[in-house]
Amino acid sequence: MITTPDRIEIRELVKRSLAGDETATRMLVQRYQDRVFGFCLKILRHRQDAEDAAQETLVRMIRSLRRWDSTRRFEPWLLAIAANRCKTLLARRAKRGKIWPLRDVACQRTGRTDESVAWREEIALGLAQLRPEYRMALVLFHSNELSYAEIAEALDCPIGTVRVWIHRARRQLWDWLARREMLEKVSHAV
Amino acid sequence: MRCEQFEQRMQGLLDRRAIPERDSVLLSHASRCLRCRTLLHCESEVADFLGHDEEPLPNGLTRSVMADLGLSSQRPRRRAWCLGRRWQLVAAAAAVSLCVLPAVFPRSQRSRPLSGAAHQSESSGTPAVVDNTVSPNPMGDGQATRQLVTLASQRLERADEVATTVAGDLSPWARSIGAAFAALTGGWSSPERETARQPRGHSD
Repeated sequence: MITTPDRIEIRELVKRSLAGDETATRMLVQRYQDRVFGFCLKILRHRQDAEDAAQETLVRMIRSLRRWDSTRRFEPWLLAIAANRCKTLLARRAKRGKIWPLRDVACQRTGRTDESVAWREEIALGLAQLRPEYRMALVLFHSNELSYAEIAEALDCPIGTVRVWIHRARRQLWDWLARREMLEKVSHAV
Repeated sequence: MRCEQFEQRMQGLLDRRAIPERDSVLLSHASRCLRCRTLLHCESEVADFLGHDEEPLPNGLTRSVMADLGLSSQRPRRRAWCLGRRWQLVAAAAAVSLCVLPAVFPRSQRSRPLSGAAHQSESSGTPAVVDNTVSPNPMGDGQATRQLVTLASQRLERADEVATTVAGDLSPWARSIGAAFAALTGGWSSPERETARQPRGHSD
């Protein structure tokens, strides 16, 4: 087991939070809220739903701190809770037949070029077309930088399945971009 | 290198968190193949997209979480689904109350006169009920409690009278409807018909 300073601090924070230290609880929430919200937003592609999922995840994180195995990394455990919340919301959304938002609003605020905005919108749409488990595995790997073993633990499936999901997710994303003529645009530019 | 091998190699590099644009073998093939070059560019855009969070955090997320946990005096942020759920709960509670209340307080109990001797209060002239079941108010002499009980019993008695009157008014209508129904079906017997069916031998 690798003992990094970060993990020691996490353990200390968790210990203090479990002892009823409100400051430690607040620090835990503040430390992970951006990663949890970012993950939920990438999976759900809907800001309001992502806010709800992030809030519920963080509340559950604090309430179930006792269940965290301190010999393991904290973030995969937390993202497993987030993934479960997202799955629940996606299932609820599937029942309601809710439509995915079409635009990636973040691109328009960041002063990116038109081409870059177009790319990001297409990638966002492509991600939305993926099966939820493919999308979760891809986001956990690339955005949250979890290992295959950690993703397998978070999504409760074998490592081999995670590898297949991620490869298929990439392939489908490339195919999507090709179908939307993004690759052709690049080809012409090249 | 063929294009399939290019893609496999790229997947392998991405799995190891290496940067495909820095791999000389891939670059060599990409320089000769337009499709693979575009694929490489595409992967770079995807990695850029997934690697950056540009959406700002919601305002007051920490505060809302702390409030949800009961660690803050502020009210928690209202979630999108909460409003509907809350109204559903209120409606369910109201429905349950409507079903349960008549069972808990049946009509016979409500209209039953209070036991115990009722007498007129000599000092105030207001009617009062002296009942063993009504304990005096611990904060005072029990006068207010007695007055409330008396008022409530008077109201209930009045309601009972009204109900009896209404029932009396409706009973001829009910009898008529019953008779009409009996005439149609031929199986129902009204009190009048029962009297008419008395054995003739008993009459003079």
